[in-house]
Amino acid sequence: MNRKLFLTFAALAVAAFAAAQTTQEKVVIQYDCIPNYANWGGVTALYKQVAGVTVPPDPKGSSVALAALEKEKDAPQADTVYYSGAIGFQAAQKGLHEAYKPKGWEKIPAGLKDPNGLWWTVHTSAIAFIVNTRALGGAPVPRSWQDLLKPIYKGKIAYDDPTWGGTSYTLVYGLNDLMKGSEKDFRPGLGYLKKLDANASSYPRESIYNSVLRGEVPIWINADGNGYKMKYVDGAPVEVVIPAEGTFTMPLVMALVKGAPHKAEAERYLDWLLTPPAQGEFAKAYFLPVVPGALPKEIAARLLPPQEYRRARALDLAKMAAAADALKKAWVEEIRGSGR
Amino acid sequence: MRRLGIAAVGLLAVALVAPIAITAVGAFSRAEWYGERSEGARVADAPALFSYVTETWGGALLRSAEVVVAVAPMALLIGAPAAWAFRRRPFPGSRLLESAALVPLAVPGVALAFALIQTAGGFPRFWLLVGGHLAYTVPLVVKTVGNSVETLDPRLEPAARSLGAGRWETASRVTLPLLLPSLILSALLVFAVSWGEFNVSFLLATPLIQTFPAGLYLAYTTNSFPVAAAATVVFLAPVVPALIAIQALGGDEFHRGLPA
Amino acid sequence: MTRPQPIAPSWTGALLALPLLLFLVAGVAWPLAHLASRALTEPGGAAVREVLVAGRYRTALVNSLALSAAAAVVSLLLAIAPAWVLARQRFRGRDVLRTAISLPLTFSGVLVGFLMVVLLGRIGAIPKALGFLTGREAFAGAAYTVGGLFIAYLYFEVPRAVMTLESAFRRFPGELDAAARTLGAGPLERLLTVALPIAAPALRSTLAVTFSASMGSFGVALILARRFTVAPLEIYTEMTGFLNDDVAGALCLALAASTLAVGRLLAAGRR
Repeated sequence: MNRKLFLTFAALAVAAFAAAQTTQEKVVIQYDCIPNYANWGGVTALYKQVAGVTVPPDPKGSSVALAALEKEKDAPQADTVYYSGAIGFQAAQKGLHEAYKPKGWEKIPAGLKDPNGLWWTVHTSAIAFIVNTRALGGAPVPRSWQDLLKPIYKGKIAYDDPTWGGTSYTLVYGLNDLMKGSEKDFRPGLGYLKKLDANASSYPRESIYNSVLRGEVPIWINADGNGYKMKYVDGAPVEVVIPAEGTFTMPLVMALVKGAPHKAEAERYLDWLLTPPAQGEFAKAYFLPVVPGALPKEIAARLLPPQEYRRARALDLAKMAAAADALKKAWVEEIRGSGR
Repeated sequence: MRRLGIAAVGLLAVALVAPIAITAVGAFSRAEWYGERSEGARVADAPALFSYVTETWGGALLRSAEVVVAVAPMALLIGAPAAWAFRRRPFPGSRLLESAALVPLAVPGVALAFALIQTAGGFPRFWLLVGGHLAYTVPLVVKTVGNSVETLDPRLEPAARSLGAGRWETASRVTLPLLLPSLILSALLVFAVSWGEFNVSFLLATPLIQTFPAGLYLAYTTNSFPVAAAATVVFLAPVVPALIAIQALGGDEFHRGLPA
Repeated sequence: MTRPQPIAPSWTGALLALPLLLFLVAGVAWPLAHLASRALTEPGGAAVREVLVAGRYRTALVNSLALSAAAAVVSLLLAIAPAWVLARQRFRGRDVLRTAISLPLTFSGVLVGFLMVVLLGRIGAIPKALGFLTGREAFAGAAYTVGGLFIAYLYFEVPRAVMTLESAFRRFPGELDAAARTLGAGPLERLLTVALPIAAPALRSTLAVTFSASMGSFGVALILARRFTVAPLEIYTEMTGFLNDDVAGALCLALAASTLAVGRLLAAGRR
């Protein structure tokens, strides 16, 4: 009886050990692979279907992905990484990437890729207000950065912590740029964000896509594509607003991690991301495919009209990358540090 | 007065169970209360919800099961012999060791996880995870088995020995059968703690090695309300029977170590 | 021939306890000692000073201590009567109620956080129901306030306190209670004048158990905390977000040390 008990336990332990060893399915580890951002959920599911390779979801934002790669420099865990442009640019400068030019490289417009293949764009997006109109509680839809400072929006606004997500870093840098700051002088942008702090409900360090969808967060300042997806794919009462004073466009980039443990598999995956099926899958989340002509007409027709996007400006990635550490630190000290 | 007391107990029970009931009812009958779902038509009804959960976090479920299966025998092997020795074969320092065995329960999981990564980061992550879980389960085994040894008649083992039984025979035919209920109880406690443990597991998780509670976190933050609720039900499905069994076996120690 | 084996120092005992000793040293003491040793060298020492002196990190530690102390005291007060009833009275449905009360003990913190969002989020069930009944949606978003966090802590601490106290009350000598009763004391009087003084050590150890559980609680704040912060949350952020191991280590050390110290203080004088 007791010998049996012992044997059962021993057998279970051995089985656990064996099971821990045998999960040898084909994988590519991508840092920053958030299912509800740019439809990574759909893209990775499609890749599993066509190639049989698992790309597990990963909740890191761009900034955290960069920090993790830096920390794991001597023993890399990730194969590929996805970032908002400036952070990818910065990571390349830090020597965390391996040069690779995926198939279809020549289709990416110059300026949206590193000449040596240290990073390249997969799609682009613009910063916008994503407004859940049902959750506004009767307040009008805000139209401008100035509108957001009005007391009626108190507790209704969220933007991601820029030390977590690259989208939000683009927002913080872009606002400073818009408000006539520079990469040396952050006061104009941080001054505005300080005022906005009075209305901010939180600075999330995780995707709040579903919170916005549910109405937990009425106004999210994030990539426009996420708002369009809420509206057209998930059927939420959401409006996407390009603020009157202007906004910023943002390339979103991929890179091969230096010392990637599954390098060959990762290269095949990176190649695939530029193929029409993958680019079309990104377009389903209203992130604009980098490969010209990959944006389906019916998706293009649902975006805000081009004159709205004339207010969106591109930012200088090199300057953004150079300012990243200092600006994030200043943001932590001035905004997040004030945690009540 | 007596009625009042029972009413207070009943009120407390209702207050503690109501949130779970509301969540379940809300998710499966009136999910539209909670806004749109990013998973779309794939989660239109309850069966679809559950298959979505097992599809998405199947790997994490399996991993949690592996962790439990590895932790339970190890926790028993580490904890039970020591618990018996503290009562029956004390040695210099055994009282100190016995009280030291409970200390891990008061160490915040986040701190222990960080310390483990710092000192043993090169270890395979799965086994680091097992180590973290052992810290919060071994003390329960020591306590539970210790309590049980205390209730045994101390003359039984010497009697067996005097009747000619050897050391191993005494252990396997007298001591172990008598301790069996407490060993089973310990295993259930280990299961309940290990299955629900989040703090250590979440900090030690890698993209490939994730336990189900870490999956729950993702469900809560990145999925719609019905999916999150379905994941919660999947999480609770094995825990509730274990809890009932623990209660039936008189598990007195389980309040000490369950996850916060 | 049947004389009991003498309880003398035993090599067998030491051998049987050896795995436990090895595990405690390698799996718990060594990592924690490493944490402590970081504080003795730079830049670990500077990080400890940074954490203790001022600003967000100290706020997080103070918040953790205050919230945990408050949760421990309030949950103890709420637990005394139910624990007493469960321990001392036999009634139909007792086992069911006891199981129901202990159910939240199996929930990890994130689950408790999620339940709070369901109940008291901006579109939570309680605001919705109040809106339906009174026309005004009160308490919307309360889950994300300090009050919401506190209720969440109570949700997992009250059951813990009830279960800890109950097992102490059950060992409580019944004769004393009976004696007090024959002397004409009512139930409330017996609880206050007989039971509670005897139970003082149990009350203290209950406080120790719930306090340390709250200090270590991480998942709840991870889901609920918006502007308010607690130490485990800061550790997580410093560790995974900023990869600032020095500050994370210093915070871990401060958190572990204060938790263990308060626990010891509460346990002292127990014998």
